[in-house]
Amino acid sequence: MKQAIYTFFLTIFCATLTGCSSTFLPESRDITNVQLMRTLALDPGEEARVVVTAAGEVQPGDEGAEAQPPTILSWEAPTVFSACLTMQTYGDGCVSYGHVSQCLISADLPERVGGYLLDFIERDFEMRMDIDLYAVTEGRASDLLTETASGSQSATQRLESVARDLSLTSQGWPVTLRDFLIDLADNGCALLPVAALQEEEGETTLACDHMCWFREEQFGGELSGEQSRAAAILSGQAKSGAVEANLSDGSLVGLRLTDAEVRWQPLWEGDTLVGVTAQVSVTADLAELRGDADPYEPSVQEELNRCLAQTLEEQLQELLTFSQREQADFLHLRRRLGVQCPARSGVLQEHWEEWFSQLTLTAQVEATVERSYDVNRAEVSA
Amino acid sequence: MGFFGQRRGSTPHHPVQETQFSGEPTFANVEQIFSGCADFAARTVVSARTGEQFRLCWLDGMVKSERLNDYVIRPLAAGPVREGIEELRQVLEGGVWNLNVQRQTTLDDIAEQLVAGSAAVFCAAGVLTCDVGTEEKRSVQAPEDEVAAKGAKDSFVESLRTNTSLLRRHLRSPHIQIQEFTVGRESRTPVDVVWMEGLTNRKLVEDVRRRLEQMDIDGLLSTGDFEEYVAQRKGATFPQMVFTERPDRFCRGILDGRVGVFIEGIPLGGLLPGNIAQFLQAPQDQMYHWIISGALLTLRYLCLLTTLLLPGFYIAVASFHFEMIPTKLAMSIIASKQNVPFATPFEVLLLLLAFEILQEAGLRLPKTIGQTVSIIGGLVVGQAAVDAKILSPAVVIVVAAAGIAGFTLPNQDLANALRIWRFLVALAASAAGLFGVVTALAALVCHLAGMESFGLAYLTPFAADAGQQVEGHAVFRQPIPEVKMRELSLKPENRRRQK
Repeated sequence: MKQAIYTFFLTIFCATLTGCSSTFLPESRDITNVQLMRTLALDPGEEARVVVTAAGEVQPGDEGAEAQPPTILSWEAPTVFSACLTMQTYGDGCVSYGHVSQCLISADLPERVGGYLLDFIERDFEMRMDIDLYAVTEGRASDLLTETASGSQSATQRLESVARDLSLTSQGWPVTLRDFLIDLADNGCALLPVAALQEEEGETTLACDHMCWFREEQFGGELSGEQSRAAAILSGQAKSGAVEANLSDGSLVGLRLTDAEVRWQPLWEGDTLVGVTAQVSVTADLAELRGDADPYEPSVQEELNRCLAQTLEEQLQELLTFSQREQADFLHLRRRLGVQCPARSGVLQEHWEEWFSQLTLTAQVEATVERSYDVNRAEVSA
Repeated sequence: MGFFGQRRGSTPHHPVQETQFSGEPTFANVEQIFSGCADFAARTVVSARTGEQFRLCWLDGMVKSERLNDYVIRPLAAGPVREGIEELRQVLEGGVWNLNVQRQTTLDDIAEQLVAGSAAVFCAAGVLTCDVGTEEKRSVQAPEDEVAAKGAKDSFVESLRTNTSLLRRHLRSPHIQIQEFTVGRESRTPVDVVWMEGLTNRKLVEDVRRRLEQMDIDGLLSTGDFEEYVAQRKGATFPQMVFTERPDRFCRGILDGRVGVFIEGIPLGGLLPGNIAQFLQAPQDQMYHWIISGALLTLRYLCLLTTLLLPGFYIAVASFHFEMIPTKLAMSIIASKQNVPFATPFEVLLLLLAFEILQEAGLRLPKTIGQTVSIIGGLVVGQAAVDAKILSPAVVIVVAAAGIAGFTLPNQDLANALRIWRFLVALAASAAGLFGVVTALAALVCHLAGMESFGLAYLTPFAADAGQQVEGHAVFRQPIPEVKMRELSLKPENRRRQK
């Protein structure tokens, strides 16, 4: 025992002689004095500087008191890093970016500032690669933060809600920093959801109903709502969504997408890729019918299937053509074909740029409207 | 002045004085030995036939009066007493079949027999001691601390012989061996060593015997006296010997190849050697289905980690690595700590200390008052402290969870050791966060890995047996028909447990 005690004190004594300062032990940052930032907004500033705006969460009120609105900090600096560092000096506590879960980027930021601006988030050991990225194409990203933040809701909560609801319409899907970087590394093109302010009954709220695309870290353009849904279907992200169609007798039907599977069929001529067909299998439920058509008639069911297939086929074909016209493979066809035909991935990698503009891109949709709920019919059968 | 009292120089060796009382074995000398004792009683008996005088003495309370009167005084007063001490012994033994009468020649023996409950008879021819001791003892009752719903309802008592009889009733094997030792310079406590011939490793038995013979202590009055002397490594915080009040658990230990120990006056049976897995096993483990008992044992291991690491882990993540905490939880913790004046490490250490004080206060007080203290201390003061913003609710939850997890451990000695290490882990976490937790954990593993009990590594079955799989009972108990062999680590002479 004595030996152990002597050894312990000897070790402590020796530790003081090693020259290690107080930084030998990790620095304590008690959670009491921490301000957790949840959302970052990056905007262009003056003279190629970047404006970083960070927003926290709504602070719950103490013992029935009103909730405090989220803290919002902002600073303009040449780099994102120096802006974040400067903001850490605010107040008497510690500002932490370790819990940032969303980042809004002004669409014109890369062009105006020049260069890749997510490098700091990528390198920082606190920040996470699963941060959701959103592009802001209208106005400034910081405005979204400040205008959404109120006493009861923060931009973070609203964005989380938006991310959950994106799958309902399939007009967009959450994209993390990791996904974005993978896509950029693949062929320089990537899709991001677009966040925008919307006026609803006098209240300003944050919404997201379409996607935009980036090429070589620069903003490429926006996709429409239908194009976004087509992109979601072709990217395997569509889990739900609404499609309206008119039947031949004038009835209007509302169809709820329930599943969409895509298989890419390459068309080779020798060692040359000449075309790609997206074979899409879609299932949907009949959600609403306005008109005289009887959905249980086989002929009506066939027409339903045909209408849905035709509607989607047109949208998918339009997106494929648009992608080819813009020379932007944001659907990552080369990667998908490479996964399907690993033996040819080398050839695809080598010749993709010259082949892509000349490919015949086709969409074929096979639709099945599977079921519906009809209370009246249930009563009759009973 | 040292931490344990005033420092002294080296203590010289003081061998046991073999002859404690010198002189002739006379009544006067015995009376001299017990001169200051209020319970020393003596009387003279005169034989009605021969007129010879006998001096009798005994210790009141240690003898049964009826036995003394009927089996000693009456034959002496009325019986045909002949001359000569051997003849007298025959008279007393002949009069009472079960009376143990011995001729004594030294004062030491006479004094020892008197203390053991005998009456001494002095006559002209010599001295006899007659065993007329009282047999007052507690009856066998249901176990209080190791309750098992489906188990036997008997438990060991303070009487050594009752305990050995309980052992023999549960384990009716003629191979059971019981050897008795007397330990304690002053207490003269009988200690029985139990093993199974042909099964228990002979070297283990010899080792226990040797240590018992070397045990030189003034009084063997508690399990700690025995454990620290025989089984415990100095400086080891963890227990190295299992004490149980259940005969069935004791018998299972004997059947595993362990050596059992009974100590007069202690209602527990000890099992040697001990390893960490043994301290996490509860009596009901063998009574429930193997899947259920395996799940419960796994739960106990998880509770062990929880009680040991949770406060330290909380300090580490809340003070150093709050990025690790899920965001919602982090925000909840921040909200709960608003206006609390103390830093997290101080808060946790303060509450851990308060928890220990409450626990200790509850033990020292009578049962009913102890419960009141727990309620007032735990609920009322705890709630008041949270309301007054002295403590945050998150810390109360963490410390309470760690405390409750500690109560699931079947062995109190193990739980106590973990309480000490819980503080060390918390202190290390306060200094260096997770780095400190890992350092403290590494120190604990080193400490445990360095321990062994009678040649058995303490971390058995996790870090011993030369990598061989342990049959039977590690973290997950196997079905009993599958356990063909006894633990290799105990080196039993007969490894085969069943067909």
